[in-house]
Amino acid sequence: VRKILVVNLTRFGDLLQTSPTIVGLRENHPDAELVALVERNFADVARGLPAVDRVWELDLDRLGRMLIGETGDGLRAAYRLVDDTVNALRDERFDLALNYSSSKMSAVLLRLIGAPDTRGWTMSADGHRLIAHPWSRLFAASCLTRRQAPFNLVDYYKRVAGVAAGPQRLFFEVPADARRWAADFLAAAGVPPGAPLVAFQLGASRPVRRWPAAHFVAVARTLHAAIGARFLLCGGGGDRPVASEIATALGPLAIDACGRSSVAGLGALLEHADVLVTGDTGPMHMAVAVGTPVVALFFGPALPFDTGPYAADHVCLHAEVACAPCDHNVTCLEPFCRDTLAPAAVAEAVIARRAGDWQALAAAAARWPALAWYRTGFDAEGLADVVPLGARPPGRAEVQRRAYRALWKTVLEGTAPRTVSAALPRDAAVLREVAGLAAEGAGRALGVEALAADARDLDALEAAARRLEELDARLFRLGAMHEAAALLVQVFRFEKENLEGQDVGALARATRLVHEELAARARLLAEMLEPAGAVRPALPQGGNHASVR
Amino acid sequence: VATFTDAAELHDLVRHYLAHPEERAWLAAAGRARVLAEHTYRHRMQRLLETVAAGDHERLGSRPREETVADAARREGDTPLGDLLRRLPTATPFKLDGVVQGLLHRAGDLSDPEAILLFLHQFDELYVREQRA
Repeated sequence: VRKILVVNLTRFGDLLQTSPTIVGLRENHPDAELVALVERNFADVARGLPAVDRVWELDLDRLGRMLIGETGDGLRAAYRLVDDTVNALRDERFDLALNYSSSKMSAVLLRLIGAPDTRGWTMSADGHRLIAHPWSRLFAASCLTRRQAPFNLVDYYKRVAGVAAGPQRLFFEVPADARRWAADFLAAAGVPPGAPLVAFQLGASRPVRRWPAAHFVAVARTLHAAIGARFLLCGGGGDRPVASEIATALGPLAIDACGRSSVAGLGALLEHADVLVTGDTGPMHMAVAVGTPVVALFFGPALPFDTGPYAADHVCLHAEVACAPCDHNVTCLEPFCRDTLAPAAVAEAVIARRAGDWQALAAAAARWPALAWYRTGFDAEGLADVVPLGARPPGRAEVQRRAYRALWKTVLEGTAPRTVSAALPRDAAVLREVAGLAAEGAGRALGVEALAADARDLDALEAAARRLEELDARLFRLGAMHEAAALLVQVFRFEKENLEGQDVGALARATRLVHEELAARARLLAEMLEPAGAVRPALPQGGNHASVR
Repeated sequence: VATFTDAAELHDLVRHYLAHPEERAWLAAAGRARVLAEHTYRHRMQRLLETVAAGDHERLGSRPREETVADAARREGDTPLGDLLRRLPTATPFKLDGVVQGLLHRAGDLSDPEAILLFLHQFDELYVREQRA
């Protein structure tokens, strides 16, 4: 591999989350040129990622200005801008293109760039979405069925790129001028080096993800009394009103940095903080990248399992309410989950994490049973994990998540199947039903395959194909009805969607394999969740057979 | 033109033409030529306008109108985008929605200009539409 393109058109947190993959690619391909394609506003973040040789900036703001008038010269100019960009990207002749943005827009772009090995979202020649790579499909499916989100986003990124053994942390290189700026800023605010300093990230991408200002004030009062800390208020220009509300309440204890720093400056400021208290935000990943411990608050749509801090020994507090996580498209009228995260509990977490006292954290977890407390780390196979703090028995979602982790590690990586801590017999029964239907589907696909070989009886072929479709509709329905089957069925959907070609016989054969794999996976998952817990090594093949790219 | 009166007859016709590819191709080509010569939207619209606006052509012609793909294709000239726009129904407004709708209903592989327009349409939906509203 001579030249690699990494595409990430999302925001800066996501870009930081690609950093271990890029460093891993550098380790695996020391002589390859690594190019990052990002939105212009985040080009500086991309330049702060080690191992990026060159940054390609996509000026989406400019494209937006061209299109605002909808028609005429603007539309023609926008066309030319994309045409020129695509031609220039094609001239680069990338051998490998990794798309880490999950949008149709990026899928079309990757198709246009046309690298011979393209992974992630892309598009077929006739304009249909393809999700190229088993880990990419699993990630896309888990975004739709998040309660069982088995793995951290960064681990999907790494495995799609083939760098599973890459670093277990995030990276950002703070430039020297940003470091000088941060030191001056804190000195001007009267913070001597080494004085206790706790940072608060106030903002979030949407109001529903924002922890209330009054809660930050309450945490600050407790922390000041306990450890004499001062407080660095972080956020964008849009968070100024919240920042001044908190600054007014806290007086000279608060140092308001909202809207005052570049992204690099934020990294430099966070280097000075003892702990960052934050929701699931870009600055959370920045703190992780510069090595500052975080106490991360997960509520609303956020979950620690898939987008939590990617490094060991951070603390996640999750408001494990019945409706969590909420759908990204839902507007909640009663966001009580934010208050479930009690300021007193958060203050305890900050004090104990600052001291590195994991026993105190476990004890605090026991005192606040309405919250799920987690410590981040990595499992035996090197995948990021959140380990419960305290002695709380695992709930149903946790058992399902554990079983799903074991399943995908077996299916995609060949790890030996293992038992989970508790049986879920009802879920196991649903999975047996899925396995039975999928096996029947494999039989029906075999029927289609046989009829396709002898194309004379078109009526019979059509009827057989329809019978297969009916069965798949029943499978989709099971996936929609039962949480335990949702992720399995969604991955199956994506695998079917990814089958390409015109030859009915070949398609029927590939469809049969996809059904056989679903049956095998559902059986394995059922075995893990059945009371006996006896797992037989039953899986005949991996998830990366030739029919599904 | 091949015609039928009931489903059984249709069935027979389909089987016949599936079995005789040359005859099928000839019939299809002849049908297409006749449609293009006599039965396009242009023919219908011309007839409609003649009927509705007889004697009032001047007023209709003086109305400001939005840019169509035909206008855009003229300005574009001999470029891949111009060629693509010339293949669309001439009265289609030169806007992403209309142009992309026209593309999506076609079978077969997407050309580069088609894919670029699809990209712009997706971008527009994600980022621009909200600002415009």
